[in-house]
Amino acid sequence: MHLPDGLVTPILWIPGWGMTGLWLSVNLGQIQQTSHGDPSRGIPKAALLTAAFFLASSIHVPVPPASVHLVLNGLMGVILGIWTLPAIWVGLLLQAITFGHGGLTTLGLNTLIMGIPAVLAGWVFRQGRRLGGERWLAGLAFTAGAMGLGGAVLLFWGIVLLSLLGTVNAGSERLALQGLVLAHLPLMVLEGLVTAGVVMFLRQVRPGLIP
Amino acid sequence: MNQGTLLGLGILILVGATLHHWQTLSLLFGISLGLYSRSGLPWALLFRRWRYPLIPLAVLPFLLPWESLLPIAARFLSVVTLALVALESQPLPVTLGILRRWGFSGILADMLLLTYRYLFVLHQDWQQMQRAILLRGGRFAIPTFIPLMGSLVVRSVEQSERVYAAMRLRGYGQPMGRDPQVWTGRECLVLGRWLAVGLGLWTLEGWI
Repeated sequence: MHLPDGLVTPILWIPGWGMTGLWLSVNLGQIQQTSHGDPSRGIPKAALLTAAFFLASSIHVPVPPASVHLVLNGLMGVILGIWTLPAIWVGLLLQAITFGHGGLTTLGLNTLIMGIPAVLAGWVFRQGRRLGGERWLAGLAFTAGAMGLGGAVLLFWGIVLLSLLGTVNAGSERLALQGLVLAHLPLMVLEGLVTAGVVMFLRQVRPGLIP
Repeated sequence: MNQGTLLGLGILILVGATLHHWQTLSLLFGISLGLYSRSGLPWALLFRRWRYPLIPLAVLPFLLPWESLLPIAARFLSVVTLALVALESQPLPVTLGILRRWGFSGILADMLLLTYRYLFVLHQDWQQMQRAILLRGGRFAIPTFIPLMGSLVVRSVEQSERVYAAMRLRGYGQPMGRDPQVWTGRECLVLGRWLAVGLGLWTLEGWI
């Protein structure tokens, strides 16, 4: 679910890079502030978790009759907190460089597609936890996981159809969007279940990892 | 590759991504293939990289006429090829060193290097854990993926604590000066050449 180079027009990818650059610089400033000017402690942890998520999301998990690979951006938002956006940007850049998934011109848009739902999912999880405590942990994690993928699907296909505006008729555009969103519903449930499973596993094994 | 070539290729990628006419796009495609051939990178790598991003394009014939599809395909293949030349013809730390000289964030550069380095270590860990499950008679599916994923997260955090301790012992986190940003005459010449190619393509695009 990454936009490749050449598919979207510059009217879309140039603002995409601009928005991502601005958001990243604000985010990096916040990291500097919260770490009192020395972010070096958080970098190895964020980098290794990025590598772990990058790896896990590239593995095909058998779900009969086919196999799927998970996006895990909701889980990233839950665990990485303030480091979510840099982690997603680094992961997507490495995917573009090492596997050719996504692209360089579209890196900004792809970061927004994955990053906005991930940050929102993390925020919803933390707010929910603050209000509801431990009772709803699994439910909150499920919501965060499903929200991460659902948001990414909507943004991805929204941008694809926006870039094809004028070349495809409105009827088939609407039909394509509805069909694609419906096709992703089972994957949202699966993503939610995996996120909830991993969060519950971490609560038992290393509770300090869940903010 | 020097910083003139890297910036020049970056400019060519940006110019290429804005082209629409098949004439300019086929010229760009020819240039990108010529550059790839000169870079000495294996052709199998190029075809492997083309394969995955071609999947979304395979859906488009159902939505778009061929005359709209061909420029999209040419633009995408050219940009992927140019990006491959820019990033694969030298090690990642060298490219990051150049980017750091241009003001690229130190946090992102360190994260990129560490993520890239530990991707291979964690991949080995993952394979070991997966093999252990299979040897115990388990099956790789969603119920086994969850504890595997959880263990991978725990392992990566534990490893990051050891990595951080080792890096601190080597002086990581201490303030250090950035390499001075010096452009040699040759690098300026190379950049000028790529700027001329980019401008030429844009002029041709406007003229058509």
